[in-house]
Amino acid sequence: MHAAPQGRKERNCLPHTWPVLLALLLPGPVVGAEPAGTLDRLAEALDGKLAAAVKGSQVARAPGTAPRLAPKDLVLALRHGPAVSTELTRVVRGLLVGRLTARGLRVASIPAEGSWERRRRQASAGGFELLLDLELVVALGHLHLRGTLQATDRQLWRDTIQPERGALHHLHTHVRIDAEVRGYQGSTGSGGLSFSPRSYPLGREPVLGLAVGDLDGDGRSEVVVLEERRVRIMRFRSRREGFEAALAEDLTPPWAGLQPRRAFGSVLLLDINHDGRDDLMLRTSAMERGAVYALESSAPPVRSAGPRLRRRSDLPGYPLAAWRKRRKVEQLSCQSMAGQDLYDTATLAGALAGVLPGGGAQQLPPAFYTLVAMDLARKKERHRYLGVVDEKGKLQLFVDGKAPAALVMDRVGLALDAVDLDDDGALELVTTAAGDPGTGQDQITVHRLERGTNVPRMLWRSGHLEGIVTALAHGDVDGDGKLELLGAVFDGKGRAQLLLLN
Amino acid sequence: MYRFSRQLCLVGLVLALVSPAGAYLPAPYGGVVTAPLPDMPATLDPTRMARESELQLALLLYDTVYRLDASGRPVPHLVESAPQVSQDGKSWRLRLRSTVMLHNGQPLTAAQVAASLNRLRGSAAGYLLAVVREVIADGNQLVIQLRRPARELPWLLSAPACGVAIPVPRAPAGRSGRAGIQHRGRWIGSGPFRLKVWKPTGVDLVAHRTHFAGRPYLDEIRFKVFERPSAEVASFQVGTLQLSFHGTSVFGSQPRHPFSTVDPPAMTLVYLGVSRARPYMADRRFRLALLMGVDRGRLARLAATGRHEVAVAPVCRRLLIRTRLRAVPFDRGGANRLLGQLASHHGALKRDAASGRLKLSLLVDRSRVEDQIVAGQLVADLDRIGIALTIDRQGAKDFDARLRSGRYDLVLARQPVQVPRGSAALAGVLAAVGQRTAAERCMSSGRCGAAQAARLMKDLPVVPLVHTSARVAHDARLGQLRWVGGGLLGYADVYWMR
Repeated sequence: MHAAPQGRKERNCLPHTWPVLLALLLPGPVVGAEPAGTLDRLAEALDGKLAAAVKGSQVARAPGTAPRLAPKDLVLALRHGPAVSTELTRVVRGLLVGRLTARGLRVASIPAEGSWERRRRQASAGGFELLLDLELVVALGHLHLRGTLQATDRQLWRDTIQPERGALHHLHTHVRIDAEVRGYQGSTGSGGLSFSPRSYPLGREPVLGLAVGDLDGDGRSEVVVLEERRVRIMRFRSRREGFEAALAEDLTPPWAGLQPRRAFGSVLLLDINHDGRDDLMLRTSAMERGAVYALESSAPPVRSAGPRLRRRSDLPGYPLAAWRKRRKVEQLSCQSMAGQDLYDTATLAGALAGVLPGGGAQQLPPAFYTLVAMDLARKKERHRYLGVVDEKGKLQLFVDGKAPAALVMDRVGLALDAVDLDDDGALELVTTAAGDPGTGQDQITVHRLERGTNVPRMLWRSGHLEGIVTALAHGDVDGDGKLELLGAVFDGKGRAQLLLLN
Repeated sequence: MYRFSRQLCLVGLVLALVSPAGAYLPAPYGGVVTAPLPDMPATLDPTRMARESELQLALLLYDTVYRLDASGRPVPHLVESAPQVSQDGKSWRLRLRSTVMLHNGQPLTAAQVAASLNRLRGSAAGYLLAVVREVIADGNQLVIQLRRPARELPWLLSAPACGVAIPVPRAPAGRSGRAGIQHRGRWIGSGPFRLKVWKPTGVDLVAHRTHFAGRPYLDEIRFKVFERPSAEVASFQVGTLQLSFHGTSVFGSQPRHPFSTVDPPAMTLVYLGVSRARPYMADRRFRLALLMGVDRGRLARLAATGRHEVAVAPVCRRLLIRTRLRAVPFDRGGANRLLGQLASHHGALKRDAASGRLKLSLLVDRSRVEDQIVAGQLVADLDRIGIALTIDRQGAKDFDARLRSGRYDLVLARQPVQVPRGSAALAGVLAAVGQRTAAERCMSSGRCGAAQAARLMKDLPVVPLVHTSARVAHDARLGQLRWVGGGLLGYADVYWMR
């Protein structure tokens, strides 16, 4: 250890920022498996690399001293290598800036022109502490980001002859990240969607259904997680901390005498009795009949031990869809095929008019795994969508009860969701990707149905998830006014995870 | 050049976008699987089922009160939840599921379950429930009275022999249907599959659509018994058979379709039963001479297509806790010396071997193809120590009848485990060689482990040769094929991938 000169100590106040900077750069808690193979994965890998790079440069902060962050902490210079389009570079740059900004860093991007020394001087003059100088290369479907992360305050004499370990100006590290890119669909500009998936552990029971709604009427959404014999209510805390369990309640007998080999179930949230709180409609294959539950206490379930789910009434079938039409609630329910994990189309009951083709179920497959219905209204237009995944894994979508189906996709997995994510009046259909069977590595895809033509266009596809997607739902989980997608993933090791895409 | 690489990059990206992605699809219902049986079943009465093929069929035809899950732990199956156990641990009360349907469409009652278990107690496999004093039906509940507190009861109740079967009157003669179809069985179960036909060449099962634990994914399973491994392999290679016991060991070429393997643990005992009819054969030194005279290391490779181990006891090492038993080494000189000593003590042996060789017959099951090969090796090995064997091949039923009555000199037999627990496996061997009382004492005392096995090794009329299992090659398009319990295949969850 050598003592730093007094003058330098005053001048070099930057190391004090390192603990905070480190905390910001360090990746959040890695919970479960993260999807791989997307641009976001690339950004996340970069995030991790940066954290590892600065880890050795940590300097103990004097107790009581407040961290001082410069107005701009990091400047990013991203050059594109040969055969890389400016559009792709722009997308990657946007993702990287977004990712690092989400960490709390103030990130700016500068044109990657001229020499490195010129960019360093430019960054230093702007008051930036770090320069992340990267080159983007695409080779055989893989993205490679490589370059250096260096402090802008570098002096040849000081840093090579008398280096001060741990100081910011000593930092000079190489950064290289490679990622396989399969989901890149081109521009994510106007009309595009992009998600940043993150997973949180849920336990060892497969999730049969997910729903998002306000059960306690406090204006914040809860997530309902349905398992074979248990229902859980969870509330979002933060992207880093994930979800906290607000309530877990075992379902009650009578149990079904005839149960399928694969458990399944459905759950819906809708304010049936107009009391300002959503009611919980659910049924699993273990239950003899479905049930409507309500949260008993008006207190927030998170901080109170009191609230319990109260069974208000029975449901004859599995609740598949429900929506409100003026003051009236319309529901669609169904029974299952005996001893099978399939719904029996012949038993579909409820608000069928205007949803099912021809007002009846004749044109639907005789049995199906999943059904989703949505009533979408915008301005003077009102459309009703019905999607079913039949026993052969084929998804059919009917718009306003008209046949033929607007969308037919083969090899769709178990989960399905329909939502207008960006509130533009066009339906987004969230499915698990079609492809090779039996691999147990699902992907989540988002298709948009073009308004008027009902032609589907894939907007986004996740990386390969380490498991199967058993349920999908949407809702404003974090209270930011935008809809998030939620997925339940069950991996080969018997672990369930909740995937948040926002 | 730049233009070319840009195009290449775009092509790469496009290929990456359209390449098929992995996705989970739910298991579809339907389809037929044709699979081999390790031997020919002789009965479908669960209380008498002891052969590998019989246990496999019992698992599919009959439901048990408990079943073993994927991790090998017993979980309630025919009963709803955990039992109510009395304070002294000697009375278990179990609530039967209300909607269990038999294959004939009738609901299963607790009285029928109690009758089935009580019938087992009086049968050859009764050792499994030796700890049970009585089974009574009380409404839709089963009350099991025990002789002592027995925590192992759920394991015992998960044995295939404990499958609940209801006897039905035999169909009158002349109504058996087409030629070749013998009968539809005298036993009705509630298992995931029901009997369709039992032919001389195999057994066909069809899905029980109202099975309480869910309809099986497959519509039908056709079990076939092959006389030669080559015939089985050829069928597997051309795709008419979806599973093979010999596929991974004797392939001359690859099958037309991709395949995977399932490798159960070596738990089935292959043993040499020794008659007690002749006094010198009841002598422990005679059995020891046989043990020393047989190259069991080589035999193990012949007897199994999967895992194998030389037997140090009638129970495999996996099921014996803290065993200190050591394998008797292969020593032909020692075996000859032992037989010489024996001849000096037993005049009968000297008389029987007056021609210079002791002539004995070896009873072999004709339907077990591996045993034919093992028998050949035994003939060669024992010939070197002066024992001339004549192979006596019998069909499954005759073989079982003679094994039970002890009408043989030497018998080459197999003993699969009903329950993967040491005491039950040991008792199973005792029962198989006619020591039923000892088997029941072993189970009822609850002290039947490695020490007991060592002691029994001295007295049992059995020469344990090897523990084996069959490595199963199967069509890779079959999902969820895995072994359960004592190395049996769980077909109920098997499905054809899309």
